[in-house]
Amino acid sequence: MVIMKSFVGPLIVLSLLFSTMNACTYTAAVSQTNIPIQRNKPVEATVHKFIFLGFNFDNDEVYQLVEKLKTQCPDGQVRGILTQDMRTMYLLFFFWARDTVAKGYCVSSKAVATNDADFNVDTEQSPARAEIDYKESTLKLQSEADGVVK
Amino acid sequence: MMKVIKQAGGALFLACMLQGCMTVASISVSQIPVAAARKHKISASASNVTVLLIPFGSSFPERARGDLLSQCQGGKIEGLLSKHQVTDYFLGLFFVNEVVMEGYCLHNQAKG
Amino acid sequence: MPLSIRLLSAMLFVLSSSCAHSIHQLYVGSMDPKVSYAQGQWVTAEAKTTVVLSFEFDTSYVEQAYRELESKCPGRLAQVTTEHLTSFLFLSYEQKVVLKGLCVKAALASEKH
Repeated sequence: MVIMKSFVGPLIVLSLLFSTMNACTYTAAVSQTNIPIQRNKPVEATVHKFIFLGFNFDNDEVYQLVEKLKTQCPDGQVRGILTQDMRTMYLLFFFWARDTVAKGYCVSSKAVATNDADFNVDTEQSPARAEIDYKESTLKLQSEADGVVK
Repeated sequence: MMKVIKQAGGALFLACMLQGCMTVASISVSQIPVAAARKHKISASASNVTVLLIPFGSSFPERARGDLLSQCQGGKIEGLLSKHQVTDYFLGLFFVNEVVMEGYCLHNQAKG
Repeated sequence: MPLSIRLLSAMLFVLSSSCAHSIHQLYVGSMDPKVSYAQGQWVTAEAKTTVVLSFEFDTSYVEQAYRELESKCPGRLAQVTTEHLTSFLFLSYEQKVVLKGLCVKAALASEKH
């Protein structure tokens, strides 16, 4: 018991010292959106903010995430986004950094349309479906018009 | 009487130390598909431990997602519930960060 | 009456009167493209748990709220909003999850395809 006490005390002190002097990262929040079939083009964006003594006056850096993801997927949509909000503590917690990471998949517009149209469980009218509906209605109108002419 | 109260208090304290007290840190829910499509339920979880304020990695959300994806190859995942929880042991000297994800794997109807 | 007793009484009153509430998180989910708000109706589900002396061993109330939301809508649920709240009670607190989603009827969904 005495031996244990002599070990545990210094161990706790050393661990606390280590954790306060080094950069330790803690996760604050996690969120995940619907994941698409097409997962061959992963995209990732990170925003970082350094905070001194807890003085933080805005969280506007988070908006950059959307812009960063958009530039990586100019011809499609980013879906299946996993967002992780983290805090990294430095030097006795006097300084800390906030990192927000968003990881998703860039899905081409064509794939989005095909993917959504193939699933009869979706509510949204996909561009592909809308095109088919439009073609069908055009043909119907044309055949009706042809009938009138005849 | 006091002895019984002390023992009960001690037992409760010990139970909390060993079992761990949980806190939900964040939750997210995405669009849920129609009832007919809620057939193939999948779930995954991953965790990272922190001992005496020293965290051993923070990759648990990605590992949970990777596990979820492996359960739904060739399909898309909807109705995703993600729950990030923290379990404290020994008055917070040791805690576990865990994310639990569950959702529905939807396969293309045309392909069966 | 000494000041310390007065302060203690005031603190006890605050703790026992359940006057403190906090919101931890509000998450607004994605909206489906080409679905209008007029197409469906909003459904709400909530679940809570009471935590005494901070001893919380179960967080299944989150899944409970999710199941309740699902059961209330046979169609598709779009734009699910998640709220996570705490109400402080006497030596305890109540953790609550409120989920709200736009329920688009299944018939409407199949009509579309």
